Amino acid sequence: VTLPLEGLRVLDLGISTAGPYAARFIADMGAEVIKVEPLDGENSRGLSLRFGGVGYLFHVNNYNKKSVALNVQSETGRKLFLELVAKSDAVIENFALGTMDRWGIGYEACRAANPSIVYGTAKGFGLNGPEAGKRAFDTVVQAMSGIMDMTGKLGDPPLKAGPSACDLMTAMATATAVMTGLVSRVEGESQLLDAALFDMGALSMLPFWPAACRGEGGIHSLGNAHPKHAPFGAYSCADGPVMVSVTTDEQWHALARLLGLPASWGRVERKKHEKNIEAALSVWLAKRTGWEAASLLQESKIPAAPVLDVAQAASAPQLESDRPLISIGHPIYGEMSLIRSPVVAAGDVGIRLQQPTLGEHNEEIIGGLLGYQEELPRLRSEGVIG
Amino acid sequence: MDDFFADLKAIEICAGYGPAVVAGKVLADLGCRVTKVEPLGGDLLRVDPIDEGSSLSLFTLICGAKDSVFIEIGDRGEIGALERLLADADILVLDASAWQTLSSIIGSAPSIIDRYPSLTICVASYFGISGPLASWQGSEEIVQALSGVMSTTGQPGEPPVRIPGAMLTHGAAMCAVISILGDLVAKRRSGRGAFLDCGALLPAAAFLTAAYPVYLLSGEAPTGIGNRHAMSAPWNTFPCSDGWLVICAGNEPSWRRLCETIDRSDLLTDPRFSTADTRVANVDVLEAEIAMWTNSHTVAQAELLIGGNGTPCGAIVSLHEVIECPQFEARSLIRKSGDQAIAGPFFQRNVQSLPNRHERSLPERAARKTLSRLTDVQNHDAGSLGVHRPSPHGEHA
Repeated sequence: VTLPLEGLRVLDLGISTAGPYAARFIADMGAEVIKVEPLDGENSRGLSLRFGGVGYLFHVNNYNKKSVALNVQSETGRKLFLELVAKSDAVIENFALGTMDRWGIGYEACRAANPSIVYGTAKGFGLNGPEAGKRAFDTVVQAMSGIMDMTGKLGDPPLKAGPSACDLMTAMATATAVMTGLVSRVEGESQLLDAALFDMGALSMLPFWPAACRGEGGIHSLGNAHPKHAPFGAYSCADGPVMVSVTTDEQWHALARLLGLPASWGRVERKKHEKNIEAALSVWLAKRTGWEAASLLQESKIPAAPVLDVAQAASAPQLESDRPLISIGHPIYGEMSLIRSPVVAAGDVGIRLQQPTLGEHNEEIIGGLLGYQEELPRLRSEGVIG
Repeated sequence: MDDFFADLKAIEICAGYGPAVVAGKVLADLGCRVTKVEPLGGDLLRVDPIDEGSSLSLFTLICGAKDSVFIEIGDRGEIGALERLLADADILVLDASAWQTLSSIIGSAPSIIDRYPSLTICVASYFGISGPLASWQGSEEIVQALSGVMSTTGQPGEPPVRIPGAMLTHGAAMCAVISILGDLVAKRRSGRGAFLDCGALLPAAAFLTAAYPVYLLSGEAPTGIGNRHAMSAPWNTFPCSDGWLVICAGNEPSWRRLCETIDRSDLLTDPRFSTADTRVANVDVLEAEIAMWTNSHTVAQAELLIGGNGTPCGAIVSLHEVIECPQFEARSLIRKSGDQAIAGPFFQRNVQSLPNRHERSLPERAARKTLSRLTDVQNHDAGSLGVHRPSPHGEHA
């Protein structure tokens, strides 16, 4: 089965996470994604946690892509890049605001080269607003979007989400945005799609916006508890914690039967009796393993799950159909595991292309696609390509 | 360009806050005509009084740009109305529970697509519709627990902590929308929509791009490391005289600028801090040196000096302060449609034609269309379909 984006070409100038991961999702959907790297490689190749001498993050974010090593900061490199833009459908980048323009390959230059270009950009704070020029990493945006203030127990110092939450959500938003552009693309119309870590961090807290605007001192962190629902939290079982989240009367009716508590308690009463409920629940859970307890609760339609670490999540038989890792045999790097794609299509969105070595496709792209086969030695000697 | 999404019709059937309702919001933000099918009593988000006393309503924030009809999808007598909606739709997005009910009444996915070949069906749910956990009840926290995401959050040596909000739910919703948009392209070739089963566990695993490498390389599952970075230092929250400041000076230029700002160039030549690796190895001592400086400044002073010198840093901001801040407003993260407050789009989209440039922001377009859409539904569609559109308060029109 043909993948949806087969026949489309996308240029990936992303670095680290938000840009490259977004481009990977687009590649997973079948587009030919060409990673345009500096001559010493995109920075995640050099990060720690290396496998085969390359940062593991690079492996994860860059399968299903091709690679050219092109110095876009040189005059000839800039010209070659814009020739590539003219032969492509989309560009994805996540450099600091103004960087691409300074190199002469920003949105305006790209749309001059290709009036139908879809240009996806991911920034800390987006393209507008008073913070637009601020330098940002994921942790900074977690602080400034309310995530850290709301995470952790009341009275403890602020706490960040373990994953690079804003970076990763922005990767997904950028991919969604670029898909939007590709799906609706019209000859002669370019599209500028602008995703921001700040937006994604703030929007991720949307369920708590009403409480934050309630005018009674707003809302504060509660650890694993919920400000309005009970029981809601991580409770100890015989072999570790289990997460239980009761948010509806139907769920409570089922749990109340198991615990021998009044089924008539509504949400407000459940919160009022939170300590009593948690005491009864703890007794019930203490005799069971996390999986046993969660399975029994789920049989009664009560949301519950054991709190697993990533080793357990990668191997639990119950998660067989959602196994997160996939193994490949890479001709250079050898046997390794990568994280499966989360997007779905009628065709197979698995690994079609293994993550490229630096400049692996210079000949195919610069030589073949752009027609500079004869010029390749000169371009190499002049430091334009790697 | 504008007509592409304006011409698309999506049906959303789901309860409460989950991947399906968020996917419907993303489609509505694009300009699709999204009709939310609710039970006669109204969606869970309408009837739960959790928003009481707030100037914002969660239902309106997430559904304010959608149309709504009341149909009991489990009632065979009302299925005719739903079938008429499906016959006219391009996309059906629903949660697993709604899919179970619907498929038991109107048939399997292939049979539905046989009847409505242009329909893309997407079940956007926490556990999907197949596999051992398909019958499980999901939520943001349940998926955080099961996926390993929760285990990577917390202070060192302390139990896992959930991440408040809807990070994984939004991630799952975006992956569902990517899949839906892909199918819009695919069915131009095939002439037939697909059935897409989009669970949240794989999107959750996609959030573990740093944790899985640690496990795969060491064999040890990583746990929470507070606010530090596993591979860079200094990178943490630092105490100021009136609060906390995040400082991320993980690379060499930022580290040098930070030392310059806090007037500690001696740290640059200290062998304990001379390389990234030694700074990580001696992180406790390093952070204590920096904290001596931050403790003697307010958050605002420290942020101005450190951030002003180009080192990434940021104050810890409460959620209420975030909603009130100028950046939030500039990004239109809440937009007004009449007296309703609707959450802003997940990304901004500007369309430009050459040579004449025209820009229209997505929120304005969506809001304009919503008004005309409401008129349509109340005056025409509702009657012809035999269904009702609730008022913002959940009453029948």
